[in-house]
Amino acid sequence: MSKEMKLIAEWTYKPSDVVRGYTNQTLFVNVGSRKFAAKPVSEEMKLKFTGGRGFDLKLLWDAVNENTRWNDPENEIVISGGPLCGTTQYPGAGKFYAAFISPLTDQTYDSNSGGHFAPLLKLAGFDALELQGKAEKDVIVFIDGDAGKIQILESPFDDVNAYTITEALHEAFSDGSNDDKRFVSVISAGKAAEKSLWGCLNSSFWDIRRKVARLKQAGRGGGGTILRDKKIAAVVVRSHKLSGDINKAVDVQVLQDRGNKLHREIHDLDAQQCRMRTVGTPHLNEIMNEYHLLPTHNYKFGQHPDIDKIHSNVYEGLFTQGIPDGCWYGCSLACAKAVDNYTIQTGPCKGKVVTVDGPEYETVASLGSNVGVFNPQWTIEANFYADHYGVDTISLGTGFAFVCECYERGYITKEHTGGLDLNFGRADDLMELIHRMAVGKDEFALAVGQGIRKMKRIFADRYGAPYEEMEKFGMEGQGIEVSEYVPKESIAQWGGYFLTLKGPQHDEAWLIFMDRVNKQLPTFEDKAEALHYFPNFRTWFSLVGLCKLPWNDIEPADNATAHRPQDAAKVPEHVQNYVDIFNAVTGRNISKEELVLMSERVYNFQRVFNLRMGKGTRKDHNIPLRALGPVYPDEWLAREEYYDNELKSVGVEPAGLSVEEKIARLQEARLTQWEQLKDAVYKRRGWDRNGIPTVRKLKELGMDFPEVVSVVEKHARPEDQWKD
Amino acid sequence: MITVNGEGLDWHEGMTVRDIIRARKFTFPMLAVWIDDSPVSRGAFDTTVVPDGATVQIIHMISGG
Ligand code: SF4
Repeated sequence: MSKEMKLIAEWTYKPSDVVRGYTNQTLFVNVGSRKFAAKPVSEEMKLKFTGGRGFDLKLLWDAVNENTRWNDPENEIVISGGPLCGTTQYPGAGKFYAAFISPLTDQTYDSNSGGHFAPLLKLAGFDALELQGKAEKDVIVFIDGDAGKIQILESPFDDVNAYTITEALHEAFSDGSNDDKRFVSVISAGKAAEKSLWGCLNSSFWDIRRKVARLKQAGRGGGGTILRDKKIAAVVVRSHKLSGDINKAVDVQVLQDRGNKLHREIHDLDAQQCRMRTVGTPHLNEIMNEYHLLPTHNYKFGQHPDIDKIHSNVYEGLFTQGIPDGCWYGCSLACAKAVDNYTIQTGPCKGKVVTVDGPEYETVASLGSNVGVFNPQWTIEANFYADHYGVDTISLGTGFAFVCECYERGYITKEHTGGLDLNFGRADDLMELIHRMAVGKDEFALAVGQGIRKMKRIFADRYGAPYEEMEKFGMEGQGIEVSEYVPKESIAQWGGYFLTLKGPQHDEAWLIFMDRVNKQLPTFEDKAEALHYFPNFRTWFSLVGLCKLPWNDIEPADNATAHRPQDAAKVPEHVQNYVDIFNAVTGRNISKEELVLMSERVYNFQRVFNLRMGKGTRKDHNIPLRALGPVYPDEWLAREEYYDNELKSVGVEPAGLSVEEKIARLQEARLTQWEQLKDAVYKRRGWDRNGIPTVRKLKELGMDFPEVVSVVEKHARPEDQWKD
Repeated sequence: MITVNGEGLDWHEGMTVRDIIRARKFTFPMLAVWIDDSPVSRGAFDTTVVPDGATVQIIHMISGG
């Protein structure tokens, strides 16, 4: 089939071997100018940026300027795994990060995915891939690591939806046998990514047991929208060099020892701990509900009486059991669950029998409880179409939840929605809206796909909806939708969500238990310390190509007793494993402290990058009122005693106050706490009062490159500097 | 009276760690329990009796995300 794709441009290169985790070169492809290049990776680049998201951001910085917007040709999608990516001895080592200037946030975004793309890219000879430019018509970019050539091919596909195009490309670029298809991986988006800003990047691996292409997603931030704006239908990588020592590690024995130990832990303990191997992240469904953290009806509530319908046991029954569901070789945590033999009920694939990846916890909540639908079959179908059409399930669900609340409050009506009844729980009409978004059927479907921040403006201007009210419950930060945990119960999690580099995604810090339930973070300084350590520690996974889940979704049998509680939360033995395997692959000699320092370098660089793009200051760290506390009486009354006590804890006696007055008083107190939290966190991170990294901090980190310092100097104001 | 994560809880004779976990509706499986600076292993939650006046920490490890 590759012969049927008309060749537009071709470039040959000498695949460079992997040495100690690096190939030491990156690939640049401009689909507009049809230019190609291999760029060398310097020792300094490895030292300062490590790899993965660090390489992405460095390359992106060099490619764009301060005026670049998401749909400018110079904007890039940069994809990189990192030095540990491709390791098969230690679980969870197949991840890549994609970075780009986001259509939702107008600043840098980074999003990760499993699948086989990044390990195969490395085997094809590259530590990173830069995709730049805009093609005139749909193209396929093919990286042939076997032959050492890159091709831009005319896409023959009318249907660019992910499952269709991915299956076809695994077929086209293999010899057609089941076994050979695993040497190919495809990145794609889908039709809805062309019509909305929520486009996701689907990344495939060939499941030789099921004989189907599986899709994992770098879902967030709109990467798929950029891919389609560049008229890239898919990126394909192929390499047959798969081996047990892809990274040519310095000490394979250490990898094996640490890996075997973790495999044993997983084997012995997973069934009593998180049940990742049987149910994956949906093990959280009823737990989040129990702790009032399951977003329900647009984060109004954290619990719902119908929880049993979406209990993890229900999903366990729907997921096929007994198949090792790792998204990369060697991941025995194997949480990439799937529903097999699902018959599609609606839309263009109606009647087809398919394998659906997931749903993961986030999707159970976003395309489930948050929109008031407690029907796993509906969630599975919505998950299938979101992936197929190329939209992020989290933004889609949170965005729909906002739409439902606007509809329920009468701000929009059937007249505006094209006849759809979009009350919470209206499963059929919500599914229809997904299909309408995919084809951009009407102005309403197009408006929804712009995301909550723009929807608020459009609904106000076009339909006369009250903007200030929508500001209260439109659950977005920095322009992107909140992921699926109720944040109003934890001050530290306000920071975990809203004092982040890219907006409210839970990958920086998840502190609700530490703060709210364990009461381990009583002061603002304690919260700030956690909001310094965890984002930086967790950033490290994104630099090296690892999945975070094997860090703390499984823990050694004695973790809880061998360490003081404050330390146990960091799972010290696993952190030591990471230090050991990093050193074993790269031959370096880092410590636990240096691991955090590596992250801090990139974290601060990214913050300055956002500043360069006109964001990245205190005012950009916005928070909707519903993230701080209840905004309407039904939310308060659902947990009246609890919120009355919250009011008392800030020194206000609730007796004699109306519910509306109570809400106003609590919001007032929490807004003050929010500003206090900002001060404490900025100070701990080495940023000034305006949230800008200080030059001193950059020097301390060795990130005081002249072009970085000059951005800070341009924006830093004397009045924002701390006195001490 | 005992203290659980900094908050008071009525004590009764023979109260076990499991009783506290139930009383507090802590359904999360990955808990670390410390009584007055001594750790309690998960296997011993049902049998470990908590003395009156104890300071108990029931720590939920972070998971998910
Ligand atoms: S833990 Fe799950 S998501 Fe992470 S690498 Fe393993 S299978 Fe993939």
